[in-house]
Amino acid sequence: MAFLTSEDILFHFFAAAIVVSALLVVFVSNPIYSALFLALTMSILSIFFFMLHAPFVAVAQLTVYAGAVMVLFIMVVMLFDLKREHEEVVKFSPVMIAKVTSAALLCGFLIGVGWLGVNATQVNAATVLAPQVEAKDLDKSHGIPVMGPVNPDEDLTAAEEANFVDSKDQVKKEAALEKVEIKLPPDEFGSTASLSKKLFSKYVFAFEAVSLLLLVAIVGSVALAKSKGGTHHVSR
Amino acid sequence: MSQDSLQAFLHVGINHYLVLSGILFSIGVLGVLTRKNAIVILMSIELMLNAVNLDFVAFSRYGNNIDGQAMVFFVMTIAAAEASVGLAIAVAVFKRFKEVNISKFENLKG
Repeated sequence: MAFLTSEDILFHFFAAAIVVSALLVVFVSNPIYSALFLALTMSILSIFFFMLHAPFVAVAQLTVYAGAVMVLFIMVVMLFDLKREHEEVVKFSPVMIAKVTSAALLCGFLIGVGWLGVNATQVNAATVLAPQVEAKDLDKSHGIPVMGPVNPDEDLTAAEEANFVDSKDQVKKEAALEKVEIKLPPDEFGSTASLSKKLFSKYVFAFEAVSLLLLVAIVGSVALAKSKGGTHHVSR
Repeated sequence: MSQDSLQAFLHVGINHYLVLSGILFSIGVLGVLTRKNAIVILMSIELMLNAVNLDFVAFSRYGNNIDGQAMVFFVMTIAAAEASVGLAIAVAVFKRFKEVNISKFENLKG
């Protein structure tokens, strides 16, 4: 094996880029530059999602975040006349030092937990080798192991199950491979088909609840925008 | 540092993604704490939510469990709703005070 794979090199390059761009979001004084650096951050994050074999999430990240949400932010920033606002971003007061220190402490804590507290084999062992996962589950999910305490009967109906008969050979191969050792998932892991199967079976209630939440958010923001700045009792 | 341990340090695993996500989350916290502009604070909150999304996808990949990606989908939806409502509040405050300083939010009524 080569000393570094191309994925490693890409990861370290983009990790440096995303940290710099996130820092610039916070420390640039003009909000429009902050918004543009945030768009850059979202775009680099979608590259990470591609590298993690989550193509649907990556494209959703690009369209929803780097597209829609960022347009919303930039529209609002352009609506305001923020030229007059000369904000002193970094000034050395005791309060500011306390804030930066607490954020740095949180950062150190999270890095320590992320680096030392989680072992990749533990994560794998907790899920891949969980007792719930059996060849039965593998059979129904197109070779993608179904994790967690899922009742296999409520996941897929018998009609859907019939569709997977043709993948028997692959399933046998997978079942043989499962015993060997901890492996990363196959390349079709995270495909839109497997994600949507999960989304519309196990999470169908949450999916519908989220649509209701979006309706509430639309009504709320329209109602807020209609008000003539009447959210205050303080007279000018 | 020997060749092998250097390679173990640089070879990307779940720990690298967790550390990166921790750094991004802390930068978001720093933005929420230090900035006064309400719009930049909303952007920092988006940064924190995205750091959590990165965690979800990394655990989904290395734990071989697609539920994490479904969760990212919900987080994205809620983040979009939160941004729209937060920006509507910012617009209402701007109409009144002609600026979006967070200190103007302290006497919001109904």
